[in-house]
Amino acid sequence: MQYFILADPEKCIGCRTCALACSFEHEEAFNPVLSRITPLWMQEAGRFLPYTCQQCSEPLCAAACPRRAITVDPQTGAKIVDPTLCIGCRSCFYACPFGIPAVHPAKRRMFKCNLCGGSPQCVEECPREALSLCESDEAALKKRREAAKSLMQLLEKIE
Amino acid sequence: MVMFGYRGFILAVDLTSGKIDKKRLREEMARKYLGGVGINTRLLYDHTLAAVDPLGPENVLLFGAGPLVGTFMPTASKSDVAAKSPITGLFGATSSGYQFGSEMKYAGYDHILIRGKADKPVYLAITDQAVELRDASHLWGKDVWDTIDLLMQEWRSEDIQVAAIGQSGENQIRFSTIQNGKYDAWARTGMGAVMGSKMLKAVVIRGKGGVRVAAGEDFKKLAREMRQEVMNSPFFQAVSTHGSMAATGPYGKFGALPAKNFQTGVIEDWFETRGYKATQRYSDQMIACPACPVGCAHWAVVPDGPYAGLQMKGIEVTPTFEIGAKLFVHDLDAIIKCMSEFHREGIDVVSGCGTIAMLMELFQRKLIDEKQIGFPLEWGDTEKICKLIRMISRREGIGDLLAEGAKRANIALTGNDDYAITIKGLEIPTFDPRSRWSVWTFGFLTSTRGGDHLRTRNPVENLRFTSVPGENYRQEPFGFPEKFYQKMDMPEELKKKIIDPEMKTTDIVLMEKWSEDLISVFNSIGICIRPPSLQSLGPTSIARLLRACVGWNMDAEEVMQAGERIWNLQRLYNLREGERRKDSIFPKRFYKDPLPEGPAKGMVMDAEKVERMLDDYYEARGWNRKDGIPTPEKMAELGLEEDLSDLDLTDAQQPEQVPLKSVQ
Repeated sequence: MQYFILADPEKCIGCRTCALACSFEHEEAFNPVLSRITPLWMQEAGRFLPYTCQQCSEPLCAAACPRRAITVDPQTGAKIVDPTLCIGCRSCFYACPFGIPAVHPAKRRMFKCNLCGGSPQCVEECPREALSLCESDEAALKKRREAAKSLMQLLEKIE
Repeated sequence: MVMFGYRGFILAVDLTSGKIDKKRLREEMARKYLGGVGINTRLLYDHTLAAVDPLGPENVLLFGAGPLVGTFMPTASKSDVAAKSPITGLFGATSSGYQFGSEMKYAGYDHILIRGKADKPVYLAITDQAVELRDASHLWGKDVWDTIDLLMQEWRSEDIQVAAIGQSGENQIRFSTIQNGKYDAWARTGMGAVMGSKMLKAVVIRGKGGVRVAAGEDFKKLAREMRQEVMNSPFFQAVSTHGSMAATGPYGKFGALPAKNFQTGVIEDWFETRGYKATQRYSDQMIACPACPVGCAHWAVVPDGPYAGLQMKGIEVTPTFEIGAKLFVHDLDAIIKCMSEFHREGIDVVSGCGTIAMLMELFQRKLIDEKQIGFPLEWGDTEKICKLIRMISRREGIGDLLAEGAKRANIALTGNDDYAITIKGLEIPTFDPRSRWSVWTFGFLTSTRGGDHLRTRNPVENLRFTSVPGENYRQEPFGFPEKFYQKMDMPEELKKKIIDPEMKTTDIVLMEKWSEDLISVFNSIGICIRPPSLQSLGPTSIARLLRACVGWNMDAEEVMQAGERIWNLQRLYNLREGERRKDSIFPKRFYKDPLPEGPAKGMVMDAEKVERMLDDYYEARGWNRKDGIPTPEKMAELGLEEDLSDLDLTDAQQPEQVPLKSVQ
């Protein structure tokens, strides 16, 4: 399976519940700095974008890792880090085009989204359903349906 | 010892000596005063002597963020600021959401206590590793938005949280705000002037620590349950779509607007021009404070016209009433423009508009002339209003006089305070008690911070029903279905006394006490008092929250008693500063001038009935019915007996028969 977290900026209100739920799950403390997801305010667009790992098909982070510490979770397709192999060298950070992997200040090992083994806490706690756990093909269908709705509205206006 | 919920530390800064201390927060104090405004009240009481100059180095400025702040408990983002107020000379306190409170917690502090005065402009820089005072000469004289931009450049970070004053605070305008980022503020009671008097331009925080809770799984379940409660509230839909602007329409309909300095309650095209529908032209994006599922603030970008491109977070009901009705500014674009000036200069929009409205009315009545102001001043003139805001902030021309607040300025200009709509020197916000008599408007009189509405609020107020003062002034309508009444989180005995579901009425006096105590709890643990949360979270839920968060085995009764203790200590503080019963009085206008038009046409307040309400309120509080002095029994119950016995109240005690206040 290949899952990822799909964000809908039109629904996000920037409440950071996702970030707090994430750090609470993985760090047992509420601390946005240690969250694997960050809702970012895009001033120009006037929207929030909840920003996290896209679980790439060709993960540059894994390719860059000198210790082969990043592997694919067969259940979810998440790219996960083995902390016993990771040496905190930041190669993955440099390789990732999205700025996702970061070195944990206390553990000194890289940390990133692992999809919580299939039930991501950010998705579960988001009060506005701005996040969903999707399979790639389903996400495309979902997006097509939504786009089709607005197209229909446009067509109705023309008629 | 590790504390859960709390970080366990108070940061104590002495600006005179430059000494910085990290003091332990005692658990006993936390349990009695909870945090936020509660612990702030205790610290202010203990760290100042009676009659200190609010703008002198002996006053202390406090920031506080309660135990839930920084977690994902819904709406837990609030922080509170306190100091002796330079506008009332009494207890000063003000609350604000957004991210400053959680950042304090992440940096490791529940409270910040600032005393003394720096000898040159400084700012306080707080991170997990270090706390230091830095030079702020380059920021002094800058407005709030520029200050924040410069600090972000200096710190090379967009993630710092900044509490800053504008020129208004620097020049000690008595109703200056401390701005919380660019678009939020600790606005009321002049806390920015206190900060300015200390030569403290800003507090900058970047925290990277975490908040831990006592029982993780329980806490998570409760958070989910509470989030659902908040989102199931009948207020959720309206507030999450329109923000507080959902309330603009009803008050227009009641004829309870503060139009032209409360000369009338009616504005004809109010709803079309300043109602919530008028916000649709800006954007559909709502912005939430941390952990809040409601998201009540609009993101607004003015699309065209003279203010095109102006950006603002939060087109709120209060500035709309203040600028749109009190000053009679006709459209939302112009209201946003005025609001941006208030934010940049760091001036409280309520006191600012109250003061400018007083001046406009003096001009309208030809009690002052153009030469005294420097220009003609007509109702709704946006350009002149913005000019006056800047003149106040810089103490230029008549701005120097206005900087003292409506009451002092009115007296200086005409020898009386007939047009200063204030209580205890603080400008009254938003609603006219003659046409909307409610827990809110009676609360103007009983609030420990003077003419203000946000330290009390009926959790079950229904704006679909009008509420003019009734026969004995005791009731307002209870307009919700039976199941709503059943579900309310309030002890059954008390509920029966406060609400009559048959007659569909709420007892204003008893609800006043209940909601003042409840809101003291909200402002102490750090949750929001807007209707979706205020209506859904009561003392039973809060006791459960505190158990999971802090680990205390508290019940609902202990929660409410903490709220009552906090409110009573504020009362003692005010008595210590010389507040007396005679100070709880509406401005003359409300007793004297009947409303000229609208649904409440002809209404004036009846002084005798208002006085009886106060008697009853004092009694309900366990205070002496005549003078409102808390009884030794009540103080012993709350553990405040020593605080009471230290006070000299001989001048406050009233003879048997209370003479009614003369209202001319």
